[in-house]
Amino acid sequence: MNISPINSAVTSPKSNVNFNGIMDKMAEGVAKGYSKVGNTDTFCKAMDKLGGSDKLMLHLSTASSAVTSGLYIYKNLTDKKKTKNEKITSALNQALTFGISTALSYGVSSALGKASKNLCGKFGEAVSKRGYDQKKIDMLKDGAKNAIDLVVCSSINRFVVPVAVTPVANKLGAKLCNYLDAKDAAKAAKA
Amino acid sequence: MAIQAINQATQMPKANTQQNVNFNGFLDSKAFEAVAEFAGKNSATFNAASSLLMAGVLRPAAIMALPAKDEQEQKNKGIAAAHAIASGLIGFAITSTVMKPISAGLSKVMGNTEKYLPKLHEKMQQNPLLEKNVKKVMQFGPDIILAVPRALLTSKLSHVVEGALFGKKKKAAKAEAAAPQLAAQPVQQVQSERPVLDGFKGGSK
Repeated sequence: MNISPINSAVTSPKSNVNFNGIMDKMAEGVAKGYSKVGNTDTFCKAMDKLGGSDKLMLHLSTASSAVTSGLYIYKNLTDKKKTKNEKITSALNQALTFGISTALSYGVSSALGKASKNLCGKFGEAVSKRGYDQKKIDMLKDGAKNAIDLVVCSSINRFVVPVAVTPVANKLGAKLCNYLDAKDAAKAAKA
Repeated sequence: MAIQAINQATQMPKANTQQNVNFNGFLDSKAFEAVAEFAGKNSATFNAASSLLMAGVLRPAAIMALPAKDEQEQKNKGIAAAHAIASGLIGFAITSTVMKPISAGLSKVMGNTEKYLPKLHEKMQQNPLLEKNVKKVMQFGPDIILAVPRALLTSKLSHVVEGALFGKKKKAAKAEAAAPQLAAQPVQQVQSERPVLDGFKGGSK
């Protein structure tokens, strides 16, 4: 269920020589930075405590999504170009997408992972009977895992939940807006 | 329900149902092998392009295809679709620029932990879960830091996308609202009984 963009970013072997030279230098710089952080006492102690958790990746993914969604909600609510209804609906849309995606990640991620693994296993069995060398089989298995994960896992967070949540957010946003308007009107009438 | 169905489809014996035969048939097909080959050879391009396709094309198209009760709901759908497109584009841009050297650097570290992470190297050799988690923490560190500029850029870009894709409707609606006032002016001019005086704009001497 990992949707971190870093997973997608891999250096291309087809790049030209100069670009590879720059990339190598940058990668070396990044590696040294990681090395500095990774050898600090704080990091080592934290990894001693957290290193055994089998749900650490899920927690990190949730933390990353929480920061992004929190900022989207804040930006939507403080957007001067939007009307009250638009602000509330957009913020609700973000909040519901984050909430439902996170709940699904914690609730069914292992089942989805299992389903994905099953499909990958079946594809691996089929491919190994086609007389390819081991390198090609491994490459095909990696590719199939990418494609199956995309359909089974990523599509839920990136497509199904955001689309399903939109009409719900529209309805809730309109109701909340009407409620707030009525409350304001009642206050104004009292004054 | 969907997950149960997937599990059942993958766990059932081969000849049990026609549906299962078709599912395995798809995995056995040359078409899926071609997809797997492309994804395996060009994993970066496949991941970035599929994310862009999903968030930037399929998601906004599906959102815009949903029914809307009134104009406000239609406008809110436009905002959600514009956000999806902006998020897809920014994600693609970040993945193909900033994340590349970070990912390459992380690969270097994890490929030679003895050199780059001497304090954790031995423990990671003994415990594969620790090695996996160290990698994940290092992956998500920059991801969480980049979440801030990512969200701010997405927010800015979604306004541009919304204006570009749905701005015409707004302009058309404004033009329609202004049209009756403009149409009323020529009628007044025709009805005027003092055309020479009405056209006189000179000052008093």
